[in-house]
Amino acid sequence: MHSNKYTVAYAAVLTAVVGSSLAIAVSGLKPRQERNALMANRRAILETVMDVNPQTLEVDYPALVTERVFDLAGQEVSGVEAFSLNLKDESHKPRAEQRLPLFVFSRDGVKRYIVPMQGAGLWGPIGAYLALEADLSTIYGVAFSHEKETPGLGAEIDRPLFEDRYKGKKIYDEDAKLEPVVVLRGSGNNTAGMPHAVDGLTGATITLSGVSQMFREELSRYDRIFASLRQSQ
Amino acid sequence: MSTQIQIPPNRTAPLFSKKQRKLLSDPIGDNNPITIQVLGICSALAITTQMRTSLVMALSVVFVLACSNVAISLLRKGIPERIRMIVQLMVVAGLVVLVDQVLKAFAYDISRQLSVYIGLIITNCIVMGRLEAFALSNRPWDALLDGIGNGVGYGAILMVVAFFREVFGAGTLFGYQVVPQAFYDAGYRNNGIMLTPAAAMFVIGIIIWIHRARKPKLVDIS
Repeated sequence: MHSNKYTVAYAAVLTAVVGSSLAIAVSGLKPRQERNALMANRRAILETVMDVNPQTLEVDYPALVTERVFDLAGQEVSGVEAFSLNLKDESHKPRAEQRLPLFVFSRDGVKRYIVPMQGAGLWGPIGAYLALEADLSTIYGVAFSHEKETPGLGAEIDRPLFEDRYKGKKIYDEDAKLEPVVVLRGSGNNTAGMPHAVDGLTGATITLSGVSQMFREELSRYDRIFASLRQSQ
Repeated sequence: MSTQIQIPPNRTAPLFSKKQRKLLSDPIGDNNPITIQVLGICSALAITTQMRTSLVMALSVVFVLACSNVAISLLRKGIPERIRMIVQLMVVAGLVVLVDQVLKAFAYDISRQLSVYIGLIITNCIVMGRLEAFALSNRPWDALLDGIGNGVGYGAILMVVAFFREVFGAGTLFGYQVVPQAFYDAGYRNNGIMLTPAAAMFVIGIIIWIHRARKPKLVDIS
């Protein structure tokens, strides 16, 4: 049997060794991880509107995308970095202080508006980039992301199979009233002739109701911004 | 009196003695951690929807098992008996965090798909089981072989399960379409239940059944 002193010293030394080697590894890898995350964000934004070539992403993104920031009343705000905004933090602020980013893609006279969204899935946060046509109602494309949805079930939201179901759907009805797209329960629903609904995924009900809720909550915050953009068009 | 010269066993022992080859091969077959010991089932059910994620998971587990086995084997004489499990846990947790961080830096997409399950290698019973049962009482080289053997045994089952789940659940292998479009045109549909964890249970159950049916001596072990 080892003495108490030995046991305590052993634990202390082992903790220090494991802790410091992890700290070195993590801080060494951090720049790469942060770059990966930023590039993944930019790529996700561009992927909603075009085929992305990862090699030229660094040049394409600044050339094609303008980052704009608005307040809830639809006024453009200058001096705020769009990527520095944490959507979740913003949604907890008083309404007058909330800032919402909007990414405007334009190429060869074609304009698309890309709205970032965040919400809650089953196990953790989910997010999406929603690309709208110039009419600010028709969905051109959407790219979902998630942190820890169940692989094969909720995690399927970031697959083209699911994302493509949003193409051509509309977020405003004929009377220009906001009518975000909802996900139907289960899969195999026929959504032809339903511009505000998409087919769901079996086994991913909670993740998908989170997706529907995200569309409802986030788009209602952009309602005034869309209105003022439409006026200025 | 015999004139035979006693050879020190360590000097001339081949790199892979028969016993050491068994350390590698046993966990892949007759003493498989998943199908015989029924350990590590949790992650085997969770991440086997795709071959690619399964492969990365399998490699991560092989790495963690091999390294932690060697580390604990090297430390085995100095580890205070009373805190040995905490020491094991710390070595394992350190290695798992390292794997997680490396994947985030170099295989960002896959690390996002595997999400929590890399972190959960810490609680994979196979890892702690091998440390307790083997590394604490064996030399580093043997412990390394045992770790690799068990990791590969786990990974092999993962790949088999993922193969069936991905082919029948999504019609793809490693993300590439293998079920031809003509099948879908003829009315074939991907089987959604293969994507649920329940299907992994069925597949593992069938593997265990076949395994034991072919080797009756395994039937009474567990």
